[in-house]
Amino acid sequence: MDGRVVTEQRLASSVDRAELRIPQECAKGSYLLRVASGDRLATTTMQVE
Amino acid sequence: MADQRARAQRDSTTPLIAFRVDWRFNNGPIQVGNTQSTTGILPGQYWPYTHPTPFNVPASGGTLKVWVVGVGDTNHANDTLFFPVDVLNAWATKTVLLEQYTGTWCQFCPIPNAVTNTLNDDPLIIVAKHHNGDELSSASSTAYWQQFGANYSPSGVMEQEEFGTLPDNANYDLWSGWADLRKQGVSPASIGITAGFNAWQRVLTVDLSIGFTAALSGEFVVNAYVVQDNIPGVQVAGGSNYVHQQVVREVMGGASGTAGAIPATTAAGRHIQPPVQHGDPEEWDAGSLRVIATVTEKRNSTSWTVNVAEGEFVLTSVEEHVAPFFRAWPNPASGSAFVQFEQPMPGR
Repeated sequence: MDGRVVTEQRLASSVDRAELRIPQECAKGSYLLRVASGDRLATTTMQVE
Repeated sequence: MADQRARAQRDSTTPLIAFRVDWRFNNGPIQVGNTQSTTGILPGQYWPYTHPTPFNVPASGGTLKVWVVGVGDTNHANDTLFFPVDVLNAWATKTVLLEQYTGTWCQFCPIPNAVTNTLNDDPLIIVAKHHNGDELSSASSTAYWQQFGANYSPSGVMEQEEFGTLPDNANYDLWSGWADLRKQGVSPASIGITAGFNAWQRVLTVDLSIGFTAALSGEFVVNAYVVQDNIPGVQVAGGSNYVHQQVVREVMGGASGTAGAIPATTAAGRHIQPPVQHGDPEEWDAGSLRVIATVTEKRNSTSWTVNVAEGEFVLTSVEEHVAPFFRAWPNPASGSAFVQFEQPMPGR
């Protein structure tokens, strides 16, 4: 939550579900997960354990 | 070339019935004005005067000497002014910087705030309001203001005090006239702003491009403010539904500005691009942010605003969407997780 972008993953095609790979460098803690599509951007908090 | 306009003030107790104004640039010829009759200028009064010879000299630096020749006035100890002048071949439009110290707690601030809100509508006047001791204050803004030694609200500083010759004050009824006078000036520097807001990373980026119309020597610093408009909030004595304008959220170059970006001796046409970046706190509404950029000349710890400009932040990423349209599970997760969308969405 220090504002640094840990990873950015792109979806290949039109989907309704995607697998999110959590980078190994991610320590335990709280991360901001952002999903963008067209002009929409949504966020949620993700806990990594 | 510029018209030579002046006004003569009477210091003696004897009314001045007629006078003229002469001027001279360096050791050039004395330009003698026409004698002006008056109704009798009394002590403390002024009389406007336009000199018949325009100030039209080649590009150079020097001293302009202006003096009053009063008919019957034998005391020449108090009738002469000297101005250091840089004569430019080319120049940029001068925009006037007016900064205010204010606070939501300040009962005397709503009227000057309204005055400067109106002045800010003038494209040649840029207003920045530095809040102190309230929820709209920022540490960098308060630190910047300390150089003026004006720890009272409301207070105003125009053109960063013009090398200390135009001190901070609360005479907000005079600010409009002072700004109008300074709008007639010119500047040797133009400022181009490219400002972007990356909504994905929530980072503000400001690039400044400064063009000099003449070779100058001096200590120049640049700075950029992040300014926010249209902030609804409490203001003592401000009535209901008060909206704060021109609030300085961050002084990106710090209290002293960014030194060294402009060399001590600039060449005409040289452009400098000092990029500055700042993370954008979540509570700021990016859509109402602007940037104000300044070029300041410093002399013996005093300042003068060489020029000032403003620009909008261009959105370089996508807008925040209020309602979540996906869910992630499991949460907490390790290794990998899944993201489920409300409806099929194209990849990006």
